Amino acid sequence: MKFSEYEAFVASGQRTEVGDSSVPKQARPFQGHRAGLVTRALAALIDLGLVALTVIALNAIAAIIRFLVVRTSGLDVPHLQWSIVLGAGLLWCNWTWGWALTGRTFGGHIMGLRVVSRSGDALGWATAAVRAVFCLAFPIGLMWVLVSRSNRSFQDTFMRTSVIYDWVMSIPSVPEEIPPKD
Amino acid sequence: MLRSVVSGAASTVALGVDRVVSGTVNETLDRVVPPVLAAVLDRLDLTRLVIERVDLSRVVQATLDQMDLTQLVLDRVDVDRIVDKADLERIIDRLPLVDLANYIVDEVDLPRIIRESTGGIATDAINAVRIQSIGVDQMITRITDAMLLRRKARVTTAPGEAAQSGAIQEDETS
Repeated sequence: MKFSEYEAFVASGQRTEVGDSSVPKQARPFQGHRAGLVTRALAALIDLGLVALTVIALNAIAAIIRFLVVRTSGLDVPHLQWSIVLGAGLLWCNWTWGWALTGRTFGGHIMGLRVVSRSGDALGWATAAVRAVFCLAFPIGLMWVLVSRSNRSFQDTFMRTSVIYDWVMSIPSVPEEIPPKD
Repeated sequence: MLRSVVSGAASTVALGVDRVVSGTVNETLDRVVPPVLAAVLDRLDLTRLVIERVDLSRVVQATLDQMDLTQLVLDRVDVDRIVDKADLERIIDRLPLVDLANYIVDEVDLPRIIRESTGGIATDAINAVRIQSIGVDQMITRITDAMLLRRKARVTTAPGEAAQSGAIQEDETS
């Protein structure tokens, strides 16, 4: 491609700027577009797996402590209900924290997804918390992505949020320090 | 016989007269015409006359049409000397350097080279998984839209910075 053609493409918006050049070429056209079901489900599964591992680890630590301190006869098997509650709590914290701070949870980071508000920014704490509750209480709502004309899940439609492909890691800018006056 | 002798003599005489006369006339003209012409030209403003009476643009156009200017410049102009004398800084100031740099980076796919030389296996694996999942997303979307008999493509553009750089035109599904 000649430089003049390149300029014309960039001017018409048909070609991406090199700003997101850390993204492989074949994935660049998808950046900023709402993600499909599979990617989002995989991200959620990664988060779920991470929380499950955490719950298992916490249960193991608790059992060991009980064994050492209370001197139980053998390691107690924790109650499944409490583990589910603990897992749900951790997942809620994980999602709220990730969506409110950077728009990404660990699963979202791995799959290159970001949750953004209607204005394209990260969600506020309240929105992130409510959305996390919705996702926990009604996970099947994700399936709405299949039929939605704009790739929105039930939660997205209700909370006016979007889950977009965004592979570029953006680091929040640190405000410049004002040099002290002599 | 006599007639031929007479005509030969006549022509010889005519030639002689002609020589004498023309020599004298030419000599006179050489003496008289230049100062007269100089005097006439001194009284005339030739430049103004040409400007007023000659269609200069036509003359120039016709001249240019007959000349191969490029070849003329190549033959007669020392381009290297001109380049040596050129103010390169002013030329560089006029160039869209950032755009040029972006173009070069994009054409040689410098990010890919950097990724391949610095990125680990994990990065490659994650990118591969992401790309594959995007592909599966697209496939499922197409299948679903086909089942729902949708003709218009989905509108997936979302607000935000990333949306400005992305430009996807999803295939129309039937």
